[in-house]
Amino acid sequence: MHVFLKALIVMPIIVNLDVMLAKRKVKLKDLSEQIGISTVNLSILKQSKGKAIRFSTLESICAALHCQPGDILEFIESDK
Amino acid sequence: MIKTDQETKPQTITTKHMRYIKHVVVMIVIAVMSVILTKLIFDYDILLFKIILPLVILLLFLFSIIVRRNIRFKPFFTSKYNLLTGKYRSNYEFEFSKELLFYKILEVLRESGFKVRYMDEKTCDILATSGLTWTSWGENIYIEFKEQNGITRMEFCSSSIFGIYTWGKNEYNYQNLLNKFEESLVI
Repeated sequence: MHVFLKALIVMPIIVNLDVMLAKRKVKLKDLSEQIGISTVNLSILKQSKGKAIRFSTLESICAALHCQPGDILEFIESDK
Repeated sequence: MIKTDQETKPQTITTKHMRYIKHVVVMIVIAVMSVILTKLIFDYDILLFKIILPLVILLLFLFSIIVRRNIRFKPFFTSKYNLLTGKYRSNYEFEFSKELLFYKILEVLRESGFKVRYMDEKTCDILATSGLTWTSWGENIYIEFKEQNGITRMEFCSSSIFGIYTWGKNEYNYQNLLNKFEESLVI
């Protein structure tokens, strides 16, 4: 049985994790070790392909990178 | 948010009931065949039914158990001509890179209770196994990834170790993997 399904990820929320990592000169691997989230999950988050982010994760990232949630998350209004 | 661009069939009462009816029918068929076979064995002194056939089945079963963890026997377990194993195949496309999806699926497989027996980072092939349950001797999960134009297609095949009918376990493995994957996207 062959079933083809296509998953599209449409995200008006952009995660600027890569920008903050560059600003703080921290590598993704180091952040992963510091906050205990795998590099795979951080990569997914960085590419804005995650479904949701926990407050605990956001707190850990902000504490590690010394920033605010608004520095990590950005809302972009999509064209209707 | 993951969206599908193809309408999925809603779980109607008819579809759900049909699945249960299918299981019941299979149980009845197995019971009838067992009775017929038992009668043949005891009423007719046929060597084939008494010794040879059970021995062949036992040897094939042991062979499957021994070689299941070896990726080289993938064609044996996934072949459509192998009537001893039940199989379920499906494909799913993701907007992830092949490498990222490969490691993510590995993570999800481990968290879902499957044991990863083989993985190749170059070819992005995975072999995982599930354990013994009341309805199954266990299954082998074969996953391959193919990337094209930024879309990665996951080719999934769940094959029972022994048993042509798996009571929906193979399909359950696939749905479980997808559900766990979606849950894991909450980071």
